[in-house]
Amino acid sequence: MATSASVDVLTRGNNWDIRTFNPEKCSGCRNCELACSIAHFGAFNPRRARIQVLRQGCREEIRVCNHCEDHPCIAACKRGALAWDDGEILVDDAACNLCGDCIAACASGGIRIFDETLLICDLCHGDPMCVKFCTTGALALKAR
Amino acid sequence: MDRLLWVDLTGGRTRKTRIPEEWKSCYLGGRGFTSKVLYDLVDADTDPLSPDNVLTVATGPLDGTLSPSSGRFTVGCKSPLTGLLGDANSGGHFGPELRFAGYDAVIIRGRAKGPTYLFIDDDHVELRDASHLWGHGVFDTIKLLEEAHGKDIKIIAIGQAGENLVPYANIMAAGHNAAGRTGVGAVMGSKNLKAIAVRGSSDIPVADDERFLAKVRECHRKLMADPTYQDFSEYGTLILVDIAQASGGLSTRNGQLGLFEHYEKISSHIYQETYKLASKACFSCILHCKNYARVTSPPYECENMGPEYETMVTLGSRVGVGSLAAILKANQLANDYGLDTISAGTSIAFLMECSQRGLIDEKYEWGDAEFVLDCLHKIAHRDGIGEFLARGVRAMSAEIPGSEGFALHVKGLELPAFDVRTGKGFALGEAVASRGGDHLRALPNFELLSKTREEGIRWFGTPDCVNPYTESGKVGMVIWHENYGAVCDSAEICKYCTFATYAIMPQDVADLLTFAVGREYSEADLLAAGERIVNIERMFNLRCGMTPRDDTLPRRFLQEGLPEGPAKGVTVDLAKMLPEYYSGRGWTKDGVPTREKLEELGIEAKGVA
Repeated sequence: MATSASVDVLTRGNNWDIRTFNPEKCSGCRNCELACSIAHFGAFNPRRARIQVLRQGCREEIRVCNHCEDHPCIAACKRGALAWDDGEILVDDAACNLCGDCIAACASGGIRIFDETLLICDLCHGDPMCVKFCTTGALALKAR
Repeated sequence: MDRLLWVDLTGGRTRKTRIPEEWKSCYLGGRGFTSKVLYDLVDADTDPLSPDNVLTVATGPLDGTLSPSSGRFTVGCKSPLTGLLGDANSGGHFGPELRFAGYDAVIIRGRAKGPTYLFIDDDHVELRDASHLWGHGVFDTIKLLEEAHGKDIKIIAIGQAGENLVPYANIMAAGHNAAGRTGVGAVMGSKNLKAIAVRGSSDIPVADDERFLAKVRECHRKLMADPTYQDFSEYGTLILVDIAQASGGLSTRNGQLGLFEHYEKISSHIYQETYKLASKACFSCILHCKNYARVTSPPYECENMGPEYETMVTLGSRVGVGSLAAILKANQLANDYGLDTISAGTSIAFLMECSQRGLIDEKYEWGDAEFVLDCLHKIAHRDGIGEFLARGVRAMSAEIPGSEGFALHVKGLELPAFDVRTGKGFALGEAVASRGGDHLRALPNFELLSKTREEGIRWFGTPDCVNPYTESGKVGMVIWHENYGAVCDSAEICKYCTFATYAIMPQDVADLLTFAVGREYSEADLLAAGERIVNIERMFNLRCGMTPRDDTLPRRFLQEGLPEGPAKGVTVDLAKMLPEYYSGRGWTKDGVPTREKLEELGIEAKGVA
């Protein structure tokens, strides 16, 4: 088996632990998507998940906000619907008109629209459900 | 959710109905539904390949949730291979997607005028022309459908084998998860239905989020703490190749031997070191027993999800092939053509033994990988020798006098990899299984896992149940496994969470269901549902002309001892188990459910004398 580990640092929020993703360990079970959707919407539905895992051959690719320090999504929003708060992107749903400019600006493909809602990971305010239900260790938290 | 989708291919119509309450409370879902539909809607004289046969695709009540390894689905119909109850289930990601689209089951009748596929996009349901897909293998079919509808759809499809009505054609999910047994793919082909493509985006709520999630976490912990979890999550079912060789039951040369001379070349460790790239999981599964593999050197280059234990044996040791690359290639071909590897491999092995014994004029050599690959092409297209092989072992044997004793089938279904001389619980389970020669109905792994005598007494009241080589003490264990197995197949929970690890027990499933659907289930409710399903399947088979004489095994396992290894000289004595099994089930001494038993289970007797 291939063993060369390539761990992507996903999250660089200010105070919270860092969330990492190791594609070598990801089995593609999609438990992270299910945990995310029930945590935020009270129901299972991968299309509502703010984290998405896509299988390409034998490799899983992740799509999720990595809370990057320059957060170009905020600059791209002409309506001021996005704000940076202590490592988390806050969405003002009333101000957001779902134009998708933030999606175009995000290099990690971490923002999506489903059911007229803008979906951006809030890291469950520091205690992410996706990591809790990842049993392979592909998603992990690392103290900064 | 809670909806049935009825598809009439002859009239080109679809409609949606609520699921009857009785189905949910008494038959749970999945296999319970498919068997209930057969019992209610299919006659004794229905030709399996006629428009009158009913093909049901059913999900379980936990599909789409975080419940561990609960994303399976079952396809049921009358089997063209056995003429009896047919069904096959599969993991992957299709079952949950169908449920996210809002359907617990799709019930398909009739025959389309020309090649057709069913497209389900949430509420939008459409029968579409599949002329451009007909003739293509499973891989191309999936690619073309994804190009048309987007990569996020989930697909089940048949390959050329199903189109050409090979009676052991399977239905493939995503190109590597097989609903493999009893020829469900041929029935789909007979209906001119090439594929079902689904996109689902609705929510699946659960009744009690907090307790449900806590229960899921508890199940995860129990699974990961189980001693067999490590092996299964690392090697998948291929670990069983090693266990079979060690116990002297690695089915070799059509079961003439239980030790394979090339075992070292196909062991799970060699596979791990050579071709395996990654472990992969089905939906919501933490066991991730599937393995992705790549062969880069000629002549067997291929890349796909790798074979399971069954395929490693039936297209490997059972036909004498010790080339791992060739087995991987054969697995990929079978998946693309949509062929059951167990039935195909066993049919080829049967032919090879006929040749070895001079019962036919042609010469076929054990271990001839090129010949095996050529056979797979020909079976799928019913070409040349493939036309004969495509009939399956029972029909082939009927034309070759003197071959019945080593025709490895029960009730017409080719026998899986496990050599039942090395596990008497398995022997009983395969003799009585409601879909013919099948190990998964009972799957009494308990006898194989080196459990202690004390554990045997605690679980099934007898220390003998942990000794695989004795007939005594097996009946109670097998009945419990059959009943709970029917629950697993109906809740669509993978049996590797329940009968390989024994981590998730009936009370756990009862809790998961209670917290998910908001209806109180007890362990007793579930096991009664399992018993009900086993009985309704028995009744269906009796209606179709099965007799208790069919509850048997090939003479090879009853009279020929293995020549070497730990199981040397052991044979199976079914007469020591069958009478006790029938009475333990509350059936007559002829193996027929009594009126009292049917009343107790709430089954209305119909269609049988």
